[in-house]
Amino acid sequence: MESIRLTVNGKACAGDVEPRLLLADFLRHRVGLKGTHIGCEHGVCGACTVRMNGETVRSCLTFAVQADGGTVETVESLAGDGPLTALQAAFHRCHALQCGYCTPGFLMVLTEFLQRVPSPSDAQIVQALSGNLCRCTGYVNMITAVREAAAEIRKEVK
Amino acid sequence: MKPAPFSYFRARSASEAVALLAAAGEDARFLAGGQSLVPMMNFRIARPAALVDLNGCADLSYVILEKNRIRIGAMTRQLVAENDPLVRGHCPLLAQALAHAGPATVRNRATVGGSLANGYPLAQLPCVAVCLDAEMVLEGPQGVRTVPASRFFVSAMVTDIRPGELLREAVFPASGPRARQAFRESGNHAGGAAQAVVCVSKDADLRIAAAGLQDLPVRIPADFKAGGSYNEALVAALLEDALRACR
Amino acid sequence: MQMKSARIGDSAPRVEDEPLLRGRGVFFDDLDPGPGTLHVAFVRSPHAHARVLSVNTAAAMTLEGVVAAYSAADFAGEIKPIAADFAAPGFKVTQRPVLAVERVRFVGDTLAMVVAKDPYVALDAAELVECDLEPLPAVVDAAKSDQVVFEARFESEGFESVHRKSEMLLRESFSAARMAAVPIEPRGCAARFDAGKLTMWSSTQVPHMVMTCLAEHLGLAEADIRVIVPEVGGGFGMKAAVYPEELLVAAAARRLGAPVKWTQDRFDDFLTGTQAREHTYDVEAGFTREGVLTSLSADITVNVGAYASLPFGSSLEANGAPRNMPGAYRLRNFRYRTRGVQTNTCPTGAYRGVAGPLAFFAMEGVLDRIARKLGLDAAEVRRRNLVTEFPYRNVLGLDYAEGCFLPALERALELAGYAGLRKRQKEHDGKDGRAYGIGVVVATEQTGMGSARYKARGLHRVPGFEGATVKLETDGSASAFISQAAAGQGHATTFAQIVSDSLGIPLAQVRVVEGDTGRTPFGTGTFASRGIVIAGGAVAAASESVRRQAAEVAAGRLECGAGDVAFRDGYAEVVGVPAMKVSLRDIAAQSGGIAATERHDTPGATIASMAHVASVVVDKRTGCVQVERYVVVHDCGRMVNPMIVDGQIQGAVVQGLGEVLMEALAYDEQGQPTATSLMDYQLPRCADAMPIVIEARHSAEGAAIFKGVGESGIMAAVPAIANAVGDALARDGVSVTSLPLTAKAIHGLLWNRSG
Repeated sequence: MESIRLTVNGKACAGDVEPRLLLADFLRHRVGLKGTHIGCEHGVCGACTVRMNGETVRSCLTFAVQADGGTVETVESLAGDGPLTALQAAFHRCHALQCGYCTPGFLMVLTEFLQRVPSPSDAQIVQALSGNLCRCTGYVNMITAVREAAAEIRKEVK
Repeated sequence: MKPAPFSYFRARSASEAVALLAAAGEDARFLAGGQSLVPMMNFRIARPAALVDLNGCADLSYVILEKNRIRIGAMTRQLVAENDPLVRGHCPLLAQALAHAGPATVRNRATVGGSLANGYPLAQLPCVAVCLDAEMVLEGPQGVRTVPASRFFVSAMVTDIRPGELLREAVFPASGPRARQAFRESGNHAGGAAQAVVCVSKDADLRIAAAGLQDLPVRIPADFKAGGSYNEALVAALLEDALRACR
Repeated sequence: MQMKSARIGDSAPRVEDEPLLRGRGVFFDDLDPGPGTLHVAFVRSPHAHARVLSVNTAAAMTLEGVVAAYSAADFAGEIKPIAADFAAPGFKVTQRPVLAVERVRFVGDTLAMVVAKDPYVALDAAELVECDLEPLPAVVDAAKSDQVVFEARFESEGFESVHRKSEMLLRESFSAARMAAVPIEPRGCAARFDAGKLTMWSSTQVPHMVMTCLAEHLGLAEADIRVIVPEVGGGFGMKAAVYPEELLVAAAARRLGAPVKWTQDRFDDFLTGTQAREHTYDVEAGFTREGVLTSLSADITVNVGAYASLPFGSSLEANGAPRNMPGAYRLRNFRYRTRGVQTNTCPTGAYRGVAGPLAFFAMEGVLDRIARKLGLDAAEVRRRNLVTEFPYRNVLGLDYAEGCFLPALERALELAGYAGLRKRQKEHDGKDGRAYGIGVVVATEQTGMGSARYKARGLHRVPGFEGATVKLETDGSASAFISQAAAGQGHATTFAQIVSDSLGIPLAQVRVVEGDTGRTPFGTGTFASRGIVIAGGAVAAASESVRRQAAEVAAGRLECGAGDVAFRDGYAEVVGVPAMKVSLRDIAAQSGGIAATERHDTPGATIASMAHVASVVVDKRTGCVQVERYVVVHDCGRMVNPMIVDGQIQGAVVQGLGEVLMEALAYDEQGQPTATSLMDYQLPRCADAMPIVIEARHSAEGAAIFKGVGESGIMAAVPAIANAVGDALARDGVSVTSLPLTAKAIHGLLWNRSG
């Protein structure tokens, strides 16, 4: 067993974990944050994406022990208890989610993407969306949602 | 799918990592970015009894330009390497390959060394390494040795890394001011995994490597012609595109 | 969010979105069935066919944290073996024990079940179960199997003489690979007994059928069972099966007196989730020199897998395939023999579109060949064969009340710029190594099938009707309790819109309760494009009934006739005198709430239809295909929420793209599945998708009738994209007869072409 201490969504967390405990399972079952979803456990679908130490990672490919001493942010931290972010609002407006299972992973990836590339071209948006899998939507409305969110965020920043 | 149990050790330096691995026994492995190893562990195809975590080894993360070589620490993240001005300026082939190495989230964690040490025959970095005859610097209990790419990749998922050794650095030749380099890959569909990769570097000489023809990347001549196999046809098509881009 | 009432026809933003976006949706693994919950892992057969000599769980039991390990003997007599098919002409009844007794019949068949305190430990323990198996030869190819479990034939009157006298004849064989549904959330079920009463949580599309199957197989009373469905992360038909795991988890919970939970992982999903497709069609088509199809003979074989699965059994695709073929075309002479055949592969079940996509792949493939043979334009051949006069009874006796197939085709061609695409294709010299192709499809979808049809098909476990209770609550809000279980289709919004439309209650104040057999009327579930048609019908009828009752009360309060009462934004008002109004809250408070329960059934199926045009570019050097343009003109009747309809079509079309270009579950000669991860079985990504132009166009009846639409996208996309590739390669003498058309397959076709 390893003792770990980390900050999750701004709150201090600790636990005794087996080294093999996946970060996704630690977040879901020890910390109680169920918004991070497991779709494949081999790093392909991206549903489990969280931010660790400021960058998105696949939490099914990360051991909880590796987060020791660091910070983790999950989908729950995007809006917290406040209003939806521009990206979330755009997903809603544009009907970019159906069952919602893959959505947290997409939101985490896209939030980082829009921070890194505030004025993306459509080709860049498509590429950013191509790292995660969705079986319901066909991705079409996600492209629109990201385009609109990018414009919205640029307006807010001005 | 959850991994089988293992002991866990955190290394804070390359030499400590080597020592920890030696102490951890026969079935110990290094954990780099985890993007290739952990899926195999989750499937229980890989069942290391111990993992030595390299992610705390700050001394393994660097990009250094030294005369006509670029030295990249094995734990340098793929996204960091891709965006590094030295890599972009002096080894554009590597930068292009890194851009194709996976989604951003994967490249946030995946490492230059990890991909090379994994030796997956269709991966992007091994093909670049073979094309440019990069050198792999290995450190083990017996000391340090350097292995050129032409000898480093043995077969699918098998490299020349000996038990106890750590791949600590990859050295790529720095391209000259008039160099033209092109990376091309083809998958079944636009979002699909690569089925063939071609790397072309036109510098002092013309160097071409292809992945997908054999169980490791190989050098091919500029006049490579496809036989009847699909993979050969892919390589020929990619070669044509890459050569055109390097004109 | 919404303070106004929504009407049927509004593209109302979805009420379910906010919790999902915040990561607060409660999906199966998020559930806690109670203190002391134990976790399950199943031991799956590594062989496709083997004799079971022994199953030894002793070693597994020594692991700390392991509570129980069961093999067949432990549940002998307690769980009835599954017999999905009923004895009826054409059916061979077979049985499936929930845990293998003397034989395993596919890689993934279940040998044992381990229960532990932790899911990781359960997996460790599963590895320690020792199974002594004697491998037997495996049959993987349906053509090589003699286990025919379903067969049906049909021959229209006078077929033989018409067919023999055909002006022209063509023969072709079509085939397609096995598909997997791959919802991003795999399966899961949990069970808990409290004083003899069972609560089961399951990521399922069919809670009532899970309930009845639990009762049937575990000897329980239905009244003592409650099945609850959480948010479901996609189903696509794979979760419309009732699985041995659900029966086993319940039995284990009963035995252990503790809650038992099983969360499936992706590897297990590839091994055991019901698969689909893998048909072969040998067809012979008679046609005239004008390109009119006059007769069609089809010999169809469907690979059913190792066992008939609950509740749809062996006949689902085998029956559906020929019965979809006539589609939108005027085929008056039809003969078929269709068979469902067992092999040592994973059992099959429903997957979006079921038999439609491949039936249309064959049918549209025939029409394209007629066009090529006669030098006619592909769209022109459609024109000459489409049903244009209604009502129309097709050769199988299926009634089309109305349809707008031809206008839809013309509009789709117009939107696609068809003439320009053909011109480009004609003028293209091919020197750039590319080929352009166009696929044109007009097809029908049998939606909203009711109880009569399921009975006629021998599917006696499928009720066919739906029920809804609508209640005007004392606080003026409304609740709708519906016998459905959504997996992303937006039921919380669309059914709420129906209630809102009827009662004038703001959308945000209408709560929809689904996926709970303890709180909703009995029904069938969510699959086969039936939700809006049948459940929507029940919701509409129940809302109407509540409305009438509320109008009576309002009329009394407003001193007017009940017919003069209108409902708007939470109020009942006198028509024309909006100031004279009373709130629905007051009306409900006065009467302690007003409720009505209605059941809805249909005598047949409602015929929806669609015209798709796909334009593709094939890179002949690599075999890669890009879909550059895609048009859908569809008739799903009256749309409740056009935005959600479009979303369903987009998702289904992209699934069709995956089916044509990249997805295939193959088995090797020993019956080992070669695709057991998302690395092997690749799904479409955003980079593979294309803009999809969607336009709704319904016939006259469509203004009033709801039709289903959930599957139409994939049913037409598979033939449209496949035949677009066929069109692109025709110039090179290549014939497309088999799916998927991977880049490698296309390259092979070009390399091996004759001439």
